[in-house]
Amino acid sequence: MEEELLSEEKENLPAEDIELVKQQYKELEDKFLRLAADFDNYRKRMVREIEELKDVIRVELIRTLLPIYDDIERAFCSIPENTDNDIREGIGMVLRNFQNWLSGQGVKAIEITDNVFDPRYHEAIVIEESRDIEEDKIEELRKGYLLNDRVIRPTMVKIIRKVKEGE
Amino acid sequence: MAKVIGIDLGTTNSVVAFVEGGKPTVIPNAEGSRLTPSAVAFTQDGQILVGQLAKRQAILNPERTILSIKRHMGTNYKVRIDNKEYTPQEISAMILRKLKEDAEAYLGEKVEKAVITVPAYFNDAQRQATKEAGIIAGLDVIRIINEPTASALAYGLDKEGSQTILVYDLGGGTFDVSILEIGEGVFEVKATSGDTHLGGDDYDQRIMEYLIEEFKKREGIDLSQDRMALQRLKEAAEKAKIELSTLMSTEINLPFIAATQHGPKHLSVTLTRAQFEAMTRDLTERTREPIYRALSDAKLDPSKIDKILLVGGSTRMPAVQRLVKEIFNKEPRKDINPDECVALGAAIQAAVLAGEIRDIVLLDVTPLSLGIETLGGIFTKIIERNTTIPVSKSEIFTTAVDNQTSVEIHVLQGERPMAADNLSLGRFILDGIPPAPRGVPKIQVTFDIDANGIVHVSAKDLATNREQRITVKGGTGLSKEEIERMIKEAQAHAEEDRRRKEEVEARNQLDGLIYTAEKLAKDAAGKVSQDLIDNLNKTIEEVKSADKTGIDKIKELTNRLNDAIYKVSTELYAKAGTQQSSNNPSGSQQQNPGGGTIDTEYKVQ
Repeated sequence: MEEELLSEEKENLPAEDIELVKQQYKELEDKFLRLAADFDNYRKRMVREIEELKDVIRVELIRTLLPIYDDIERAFCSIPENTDNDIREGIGMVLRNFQNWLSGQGVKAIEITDNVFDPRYHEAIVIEESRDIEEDKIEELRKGYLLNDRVIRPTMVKIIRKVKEGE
Repeated sequence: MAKVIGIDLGTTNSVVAFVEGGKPTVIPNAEGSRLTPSAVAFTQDGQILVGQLAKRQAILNPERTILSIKRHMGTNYKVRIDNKEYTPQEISAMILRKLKEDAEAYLGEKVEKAVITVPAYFNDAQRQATKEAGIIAGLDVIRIINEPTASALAYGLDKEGSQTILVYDLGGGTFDVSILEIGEGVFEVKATSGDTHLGGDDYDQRIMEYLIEEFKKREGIDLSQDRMALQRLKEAAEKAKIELSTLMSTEINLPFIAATQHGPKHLSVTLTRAQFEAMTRDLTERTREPIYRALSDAKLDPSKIDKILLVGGSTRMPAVQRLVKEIFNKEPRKDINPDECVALGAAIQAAVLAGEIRDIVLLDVTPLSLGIETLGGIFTKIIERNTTIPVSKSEIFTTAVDNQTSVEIHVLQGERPMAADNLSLGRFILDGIPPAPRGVPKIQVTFDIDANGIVHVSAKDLATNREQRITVKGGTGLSKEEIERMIKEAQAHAEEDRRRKEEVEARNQLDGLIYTAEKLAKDAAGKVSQDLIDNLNKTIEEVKSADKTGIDKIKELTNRLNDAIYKVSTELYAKAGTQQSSNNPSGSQQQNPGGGTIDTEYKVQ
């Protein structure tokens, strides 16, 4: 019954009108599909971005805490080692608590392994020359850190270059 | 369809952005940062490093690290590395290639086309060189646009009709001022000026110098010879500068900054915003002259500038904003992240050229909140401003007095909490509500805004299904200025409105309490001592006839009435309690004897 009605209507409509309606229908369907796809992509990206945002916030927090950690480490190192000192021991404990918190967050210190400068992990701030070494060396000035293998702060290093004979 | 990106290829930093769902978004680089230093390095072992990595090894490799190549674009300058010569466009291409690759990694698809920005003063050769850099990097540069034009696009100024704007761009190392005329979507640069060696780094430097000087005065130690100390000073200086944009003073504490025979030395300095502004006043003032030069080149006086845009990270400093405001006697626009503004505008241009923007279904929003007037003249919002339309929302309301048979629906638009301060859109009456105590009838009020912004409001009595409706032509009736004025007014009156609303709400609450009290006086008659009932009735009369202005007065009356009610109800319940226990003297024995009953229930199943 409904079909009959529709076909009757179709017959009454001029052909060009049907074409126009078809075209408009297509355009609208296209627009709708695009919007639906856009929204779906947006939703997926949001899920991903919220995950990433958690990381970004964590990295930012850790990054702002690192200078304070450095300061405690400096305080610790400034107390002579051989003295049997309760203050040194206490500050050492504070430092260890802080270290444990950092590793609990997944933060790892960057280790200098083979004395080769690598700009992915190191930032050079001083260069020195020396005749007393076998080959070029790097020396850590401030610790660098990784979080999930991503550098959150590069190690600040001093580069010691070997001066060759005759130079 | 492949994404088209917008690139702000800067002197010190570069930014890349793209348009998604009609909104421009910055793409972070592989290191997770939104800014990529415009630095390129050739390592001894033949690698090419770009961005942060290039900067980290700069000191180790100064003659093979290239910074600020943009300053040489369009010239015959060559970079010589291992007997090979590189043109500025080849170096720039290395930066562009990294931006392209990082964008591809982020988007998960190939990027082939880009819009790149250049300073408005760049000549043909410089623009050509920029385009070539793009081609070398494997990008089809579909357009080169001016940086100030990109900023104007980011602010959507192309859609606001003819106007003259000034873009004040103070970046890390360069200062540019441009005057643009916008009309019919066409941007014309009227004048440019600037200072190629002025930026945020100079401000950091001043703080560092001050700290070094202070430390020398106090401790007699020169920190400028210690690279590690300098690095800490630099980081602390930048942090202090950023903090002083929002705080009036900041503390700089660098413990163990130096060691002497007498032990460690610490640096501790408090820097106020006033001190910081005094020590950098000449830097900020250096931007004044280029502004006047640009104005005079464009043959305009400051009053002829319709809008001022602040671009570049250093425009976050209050002193800079003050200087601009003082010259133009106008509040500059600064709501878009000044570090990202240019790239966002480039992304918009890219999307327009790629036809992406056209494909987006433009969704409108309601510019102002819509709602109805409720008891005591309060404006109750049903649809909040900035809600995307089409939209439909309902809420259930009720009557204020006993046996109320009709309600008036007063439809309003605005942001103020009191109905009288908002714009009335119309009113209608729903009658035929069956008589019932106050609070019992349920009247559903529905607001529906269709895609054309037309508002349909209906009210329906859920008991009888009687319904009345009204159609108003919504937000379209107001001009942009009127809408902005209404929003501003709401902000300006927020505190006083809040107090007024609080008072009305307290009064409504008191009215409700009087109703409860009267009902209680009737119900409790004969059940509690007559003294208490008399006292309650007396208090009700006193409260009813009292002057109810001022929230404190209303609260006091509420407390008095509550007291009288409390006395009656306490006795009422006390009596009811003794009655109940005398009716049921063995109440405790009626409890279930154990788990048996529950078991039975399970068995029944």
